Amino acid sequence: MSINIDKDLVKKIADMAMLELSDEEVAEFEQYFREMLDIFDVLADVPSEYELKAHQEGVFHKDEVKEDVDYHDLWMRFSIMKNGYLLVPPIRGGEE
Amino acid sequence: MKYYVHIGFEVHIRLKTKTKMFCSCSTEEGDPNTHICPVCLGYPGALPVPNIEALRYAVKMSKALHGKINDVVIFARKNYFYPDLPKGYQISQHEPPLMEDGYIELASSGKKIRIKRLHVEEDAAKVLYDSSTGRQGENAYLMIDFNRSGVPLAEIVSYPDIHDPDEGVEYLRTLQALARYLGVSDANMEKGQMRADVNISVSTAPDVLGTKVEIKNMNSFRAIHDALQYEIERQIKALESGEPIYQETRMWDEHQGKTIVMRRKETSDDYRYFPEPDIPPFRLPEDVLSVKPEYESVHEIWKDVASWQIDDKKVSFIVYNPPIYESLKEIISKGVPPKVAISLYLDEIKGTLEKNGRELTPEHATWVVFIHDLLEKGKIDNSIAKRIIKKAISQNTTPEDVYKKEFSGPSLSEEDIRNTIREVLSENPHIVEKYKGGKKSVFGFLMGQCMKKFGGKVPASTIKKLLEEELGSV
Amino acid sequence: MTIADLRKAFQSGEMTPLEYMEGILNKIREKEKEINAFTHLEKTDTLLKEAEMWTEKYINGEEMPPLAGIPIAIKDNIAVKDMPLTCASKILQEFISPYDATAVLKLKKAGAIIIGKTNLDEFAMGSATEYSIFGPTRNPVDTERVPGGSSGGSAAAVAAGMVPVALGSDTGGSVRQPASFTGTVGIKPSYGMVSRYGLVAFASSLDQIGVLARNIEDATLVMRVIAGKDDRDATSVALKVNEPYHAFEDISDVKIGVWKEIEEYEAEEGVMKVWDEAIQKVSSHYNIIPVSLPDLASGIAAYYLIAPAEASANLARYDGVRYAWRVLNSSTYKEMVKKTRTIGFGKEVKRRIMIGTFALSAGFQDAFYKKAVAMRYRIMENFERAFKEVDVILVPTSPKLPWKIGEKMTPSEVYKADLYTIPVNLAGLPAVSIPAGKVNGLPVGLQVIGKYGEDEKVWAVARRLMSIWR
Repeated sequence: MSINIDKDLVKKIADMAMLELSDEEVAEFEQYFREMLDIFDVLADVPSEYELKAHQEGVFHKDEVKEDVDYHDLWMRFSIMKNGYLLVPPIRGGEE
Repeated sequence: MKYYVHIGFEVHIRLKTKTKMFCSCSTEEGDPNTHICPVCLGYPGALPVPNIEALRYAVKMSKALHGKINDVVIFARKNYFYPDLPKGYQISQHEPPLMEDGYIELASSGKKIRIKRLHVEEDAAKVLYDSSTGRQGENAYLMIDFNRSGVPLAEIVSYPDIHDPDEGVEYLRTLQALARYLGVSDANMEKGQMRADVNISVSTAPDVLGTKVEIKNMNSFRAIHDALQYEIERQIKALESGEPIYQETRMWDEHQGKTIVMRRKETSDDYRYFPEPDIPPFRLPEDVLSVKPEYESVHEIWKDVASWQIDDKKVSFIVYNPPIYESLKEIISKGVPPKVAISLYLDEIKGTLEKNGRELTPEHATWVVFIHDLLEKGKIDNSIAKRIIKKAISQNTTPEDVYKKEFSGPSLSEEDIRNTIREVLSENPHIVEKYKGGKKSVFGFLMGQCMKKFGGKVPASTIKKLLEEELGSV
Repeated sequence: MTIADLRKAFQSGEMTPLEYMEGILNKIREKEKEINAFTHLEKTDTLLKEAEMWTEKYINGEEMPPLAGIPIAIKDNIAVKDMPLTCASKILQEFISPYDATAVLKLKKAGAIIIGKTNLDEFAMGSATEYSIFGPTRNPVDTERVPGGSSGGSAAAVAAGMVPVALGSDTGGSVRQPASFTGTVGIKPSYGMVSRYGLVAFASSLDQIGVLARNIEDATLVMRVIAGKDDRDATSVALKVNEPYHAFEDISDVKIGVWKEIEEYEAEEGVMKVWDEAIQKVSSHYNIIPVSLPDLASGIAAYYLIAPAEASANLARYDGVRYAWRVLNSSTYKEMVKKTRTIGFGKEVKRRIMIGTFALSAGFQDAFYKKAVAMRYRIMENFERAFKEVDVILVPTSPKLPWKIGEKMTPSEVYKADLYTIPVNLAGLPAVSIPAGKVNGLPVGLQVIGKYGEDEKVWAVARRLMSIWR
């Protein structure tokens, strides 16, 4: 598989996954990706079409309210609350 | 130079089930973060299980939109990071959606707008901005309420078959009405139960689509109309001056009255869709697939109401108000002529209720049937009817009650009525003389005196007839 | 003593649950410091009190549920209410679960006493129980060596006698391979037999909760208790399973197969030696039929695309927003999430997330994720064809003997050692790893793999084989 593995690709993937990598780690990941691509080589000639079939009956829930975990237990696990809301830092950090 | 506008909509309507799409938390309004559980909060180890009623509602809507239903349902993960998305992905549908290739006829014109797809998904949490620290908008801390997280949504995407803002608003109103007629959604835009994003392009050739611009953040029909109007002008100006139109997402700014470019979202638009492994593909159960929509066309409803020969404004009002249409149909089915039904139900009852700060309910339909019956039998006339209604409302009781207490009583025979009239005449000899002398205008005074004596229990028309006769024989 | 023996002893009064628990706690005191199998242990007082309660109930002659008074340990990626659920990760350090996994509820209903949580590779991603914030677990058979992974804590706890039975999870071999490395029995059920509700998801379409025990009777007993379709898990299926103390199936006419192409993917010498001897013994009782499974070796490639892809999405929820800790003093949401995840996840987890994100990303999904899924279907078809000729297939559990703790191996070297276990998860089949012998004192396990839904048959064959090898 002739994919170009480079710093930019690794950084782009890390960004998508919300991870910060040091330069050293980026280099390590370039190496790791190349090793993995070697492993994936055996799939090169496999056609990628297939049909998704329904193999089993669906499992559903009835439209009846059932709240069996006390929401206070879940509040206890919130980091910061204000007036019943969960607080999270801003989308933009006060620039512009 | 002629310009061709193509408008398409992406509408999200909230399905009004009791529980969420993938867990059994209540969808009712409540204090923030009180209808939450490990599933809709994305806890470790929690798993989604689809709500059968939500699927039923979505299938019903799909059928009313005349689409092809894909009976093997496949959910997909739409992956991205945002504070309102607990799992870091939304469970939605990619390919295939629940429904494809449908259409809707606009309510008034009957024009067919093609529907590309309808699919089912879960809603994200509600985000508010904490302005207490003085920061604004996206610079402020976020306050998140997860009550909304996981609520079922149906996303409906149209083809760009709409060509002007009015048509656009009509499309949305028709869709909203249809959802309400089917009982699958209240679709109230102000409450966020219906949200619409627009795609619009302008070109110089009829079948050619221009550059597509997406517009978000319109929270009412008015805003949508204004935004479309603005954007069409903006694009035409650009085309005329040779400036480029970028394929981008713009926000409608209500205050400034213009669309502005949204900041490029920092997370990329690569959603990495893949089939949801926690919900294996399943075939819709027979009882869901066979659900029948109560209505299939708002346009047909429009034609029905228009046949009552009332003015367009009233037609529109009735059609876009499903509970009212259904109550009127109910009333009409009991033998009340449409115009009478409307007069009593809307003008009198609804009008008076609203003056008293109250709301019309389907219960009030029975009032109309009762009152119409009395009118038909001549037991009351129109003015008495109005008074009965007013009293029933102000006394917070039923017209049956009011009629029994104040307007029926032991039935007065014609002889009784004549006797009372003769009483009046004998009490007012000078007036009678004036009348006999040719002053017909005093008839009103005599009517008034008689009406007083009868306390409204005898219809004015009856009094008039008998008074005339008595005067004639004096 | 098997659990059945223990139960009889409890009933006759020969031994009480309290006495047994005291013995367990002694063993833990003796061994745990060195083995490091547990991430959390309930307080001694609590456990003794619970054991006392069951002792009373037995004395009163009440009707006893199948596991009454039996201590059990749970892998720390399975939710137990009010106990930590760390997944051996910094990002869930100090996180306490507010609810029970369905399998745990069933154990509680059956009277089991949950003594604590066991160590694992972070988020079940690993084959040696070495990627853990709690440090590595040591193999009781040879404490210089790894116990296998990712359910190494559960396997070691059982092997060291610190608990008779433990729950693990198996996505690519994580119950079977530690069983092989520690000389214990490890069962992975047919996919969907045991509810995944409460099992922290790694790869949703591959994960299953499994059981580790010292013998097949105990392992199957617990499997039968935790199995069952669950309304909270849309992937769960109602599969046939007997009552807990039911006898094993009659397998006198069972057809046993072996993987024809295994010669091309040979294991370490020591493993092959045990394998050859074991098969030799079996062939004197049964006709061994070689079956072709030509695509099996491509399972590694398919697995290391599908599992990380699903994991990359399953782990996106760990952002510090709604539970567990978060990096404070961040000026933006994005900064908070990135920092929390970067500090919170270990190296191997990051590798899986990265390769998984890559496999699903635009431009690469067709060439990688989708081809992997297509190969997965092929492997399922391989097995379907093979199972027309045989009822079960025997394969070594691991091509490697337990290696030394700290031994340097590249990630891909470790991945390739999952060769014999991975295809089973890809096809969703039931499998058991049973001890087949030793080489230089190190245990070697062997797998019995069966048709989808035929778990009871697989367990019966496993039991029979163990008796042949004894």
